[in-house]
Amino acid sequence: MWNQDKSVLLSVVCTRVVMVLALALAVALPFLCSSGFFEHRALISPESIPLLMPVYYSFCVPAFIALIALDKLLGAVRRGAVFTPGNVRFLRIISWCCFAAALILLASSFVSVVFFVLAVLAAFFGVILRAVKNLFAAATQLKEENDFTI
Amino acid sequence: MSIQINIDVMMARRKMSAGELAERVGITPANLSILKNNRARAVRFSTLEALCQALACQPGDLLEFIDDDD
Repeated sequence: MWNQDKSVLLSVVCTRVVMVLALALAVALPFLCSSGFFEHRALISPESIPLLMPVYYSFCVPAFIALIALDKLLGAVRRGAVFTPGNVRFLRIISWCCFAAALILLASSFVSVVFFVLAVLAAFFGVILRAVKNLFAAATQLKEENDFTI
Repeated sequence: MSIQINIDVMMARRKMSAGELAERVGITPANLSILKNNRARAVRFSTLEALCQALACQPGDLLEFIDDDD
């Protein structure tokens, strides 16, 4: 029977799978770039392919920080600690990571217009997460108020 | 300015333990501790009523307004 616990577990598994895939791509990227894997697949000119590595590696920094924060957030949700100041902090970190990723992608948009589209999407995610973070902060305050009403 | 809760005083007068009071009022000992230590943000009328009943006192015996400016 599908329930809330299994749903959270699925989210944890998805987060960790994305982490492993991102790490695997980071390891494989030099080989993929040198082997010509992207030449007919990526929407970038062949001379821009070597630029994929610095773009991806700089993108990896906020991405991994966000994934680790997401993993910890989901861990807290699994333990039943949902509306806590710690979770608000994790959401804030993820939101700022989205903005950082958007900046990196925006700066890399001279390589390909795809990065510009991804930058807009990352910024959009960042704004949404910021709103969710504000909601969580308000809910945490309400919960605290409720917990201390005897 | 603050509202002080004097449950300790009334408990001592009635010679009642925290566990017994919590049981009579119908709250957990942890919540009674929050009340006793003035960490509560609000008190429900139903809780106040139960406290007054258990300690045979008036709300004014349990709550005290302290003006910090004085």
